[in-house]
Amino acid sequence: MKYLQYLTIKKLLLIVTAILLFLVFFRLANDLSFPDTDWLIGKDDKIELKDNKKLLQKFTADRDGLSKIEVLLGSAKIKGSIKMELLDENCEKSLRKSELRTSKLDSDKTYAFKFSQVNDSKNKTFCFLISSEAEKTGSKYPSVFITNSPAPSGGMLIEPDFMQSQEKSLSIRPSYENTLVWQDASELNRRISQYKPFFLKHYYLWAIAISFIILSIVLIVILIL
Amino acid sequence: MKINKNHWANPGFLLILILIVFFLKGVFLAALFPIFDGQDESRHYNTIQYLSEPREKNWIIIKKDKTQRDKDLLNTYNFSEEIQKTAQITQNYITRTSEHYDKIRFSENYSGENESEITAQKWDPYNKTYPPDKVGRSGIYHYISMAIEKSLSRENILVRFFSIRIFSIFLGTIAISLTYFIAKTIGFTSKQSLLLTAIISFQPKLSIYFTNINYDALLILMFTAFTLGGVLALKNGFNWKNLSLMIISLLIGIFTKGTTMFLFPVFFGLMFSFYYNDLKNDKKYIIAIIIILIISLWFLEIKYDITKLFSIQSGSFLETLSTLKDYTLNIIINMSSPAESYWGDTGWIRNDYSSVFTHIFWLVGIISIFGLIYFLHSKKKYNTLPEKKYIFFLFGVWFALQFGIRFYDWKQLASGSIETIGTPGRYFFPVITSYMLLIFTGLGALLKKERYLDNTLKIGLILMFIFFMHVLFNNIIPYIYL
Repeated sequence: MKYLQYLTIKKLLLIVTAILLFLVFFRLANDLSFPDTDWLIGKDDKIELKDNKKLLQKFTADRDGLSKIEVLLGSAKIKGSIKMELLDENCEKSLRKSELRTSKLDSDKTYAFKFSQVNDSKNKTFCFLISSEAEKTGSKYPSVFITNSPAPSGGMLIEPDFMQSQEKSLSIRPSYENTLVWQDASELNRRISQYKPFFLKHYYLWAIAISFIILSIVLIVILIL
Repeated sequence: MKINKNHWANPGFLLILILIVFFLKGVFLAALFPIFDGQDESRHYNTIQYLSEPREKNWIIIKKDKTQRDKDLLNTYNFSEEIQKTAQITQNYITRTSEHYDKIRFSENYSGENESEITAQKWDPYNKTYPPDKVGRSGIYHYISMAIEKSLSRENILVRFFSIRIFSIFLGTIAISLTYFIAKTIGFTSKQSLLLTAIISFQPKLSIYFTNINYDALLILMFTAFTLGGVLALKNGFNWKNLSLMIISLLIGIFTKGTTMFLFPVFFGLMFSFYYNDLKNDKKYIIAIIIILIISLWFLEIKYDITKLFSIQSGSFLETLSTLKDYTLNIIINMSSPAESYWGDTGWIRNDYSSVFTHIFWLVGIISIFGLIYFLHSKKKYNTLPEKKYIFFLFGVWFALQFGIRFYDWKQLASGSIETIGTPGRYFFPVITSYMLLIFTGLGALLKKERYLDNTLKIGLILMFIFFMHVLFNNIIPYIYL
């Protein structure tokens, strides 16, 4: 408690700033996974997840570090959860699982199924399973969008006891992380550099970004003090 | 080596640091947003390319109806061949659509797919389909940008385009520097002025807007310059310096965008208030002001056809009043709408905390209104706050734009138009300096002590800084690249 006497308003403001800034960068670090943009997400059709229906999408991972699957769901008001699982290539053994609890689904943005990284995922086949344990509270059942494009590198959409198709796929997109954060930062730099002039690419971009972050923090600290 | 502590407290040093940070921030943002992604950027850039074309159009021109245009596909617009092809290759249709789930296809290295086709400069920067899609009136901003475009004509479109974005950032940097001098002139301390300047410089939507190829970058600068001229005139009296600053900013502003015309009543109001006493005693001032007023109105009529602009073609007087009532109610009900787009609530990602910040700023704004009312009614002399004459002037500038934009928006409705121009937050950026200074004056009146205002400014700075970083790192980057 005696340390509180040293806690001036300026120091308190600095501590709060540091915490909030840390949260911003912590969230960025969590968001740093790179979607496989060869996957096309669209709203060509949708399948309702009612009566305990399960949908499976077989796919082959393009690289190591599979850590997220984004899925496009249809708008609905629900009570309960949407379950998502990553299964092995036989669609039997559960590798990762998660559930989405919400009262309202919208189709404007994808939902993220995040899980701990599968380090050696490259060229391995997985099954993504989605099902609903939710009741509808509005007029629509929870649903998943389908696109009339095959999954990259082959793959299969499976509606158990109903259909299997290689011509269509769930509107999903696998996402990958690198092993180290600096590798993620480098890959982000590569992405930002694309379709930019030379003075906004690669090392120039690093210099601009790092200078901005450091100088802005210095500025804030000086102005608070 | 001993470091002089006072060096850090040097306002000049800190102002330069604010400007460097603002500029670097702008360049970083310019790098983040894909080409043509800014507000009306493709149209403004096509205007610049059109102005850069040779006078003799010795190429085949095809007439193409604008109704054939697909809103999401820039290559269906009557843009230059270079813009159309570049938009196609850079997958502009993905970021242009209102759907937030699709992503640009990225390659594995520092150049995008088929980027070499863009840098090979195979396409003509000429408009080959007519009528060209360009802004209604080209202005000074476009002509200066045209000079940049022409000076870099040997470079590929990526170099030219992003160089002009950096020009917009440069204009913004000047505007931010003027903000400091406005705050200082009206009576805030150096430290308070620096804090206010820094707060405005980190406003997310303003920061993003200054990275666009859009004449609003110059318009915001001219509004800020005019405001500086006005407060200098109030402080020192009218002299050739502050009068020149105001007249030049009005002239450049009016040759940039018609919105500047809403500053003319403020200018004449200021002149009238200065010479009111003289007017009573000496008729030559009345004559001088009337002459300047007539010349200004004539000029505005020639340039912007203001009688048509402000006339309302509609049914009866009662019908017109009815639309005014509906419109006013609509403004009140949707008060928060322009506020979200004003601050930077993009709605692009899930779990976006932007609305938390937006609501805080909105609440602060409401509280400050009470503070301002109290301040203006109070007979108390505040040593740490601006004098009332400055507050009236800043309010006049702010109100002129608010009234002007909303009047024109209502006029469209009253004239039977299905669509109004709308009131997105960015329309009100030209008066952001006045707005922020009014807000903190209102808060200062409630807080009473200078120390409390200083701490409030610091808290405001932290909030704005964190809000900006959240928008940048948790919103923009994930939305476009992750």
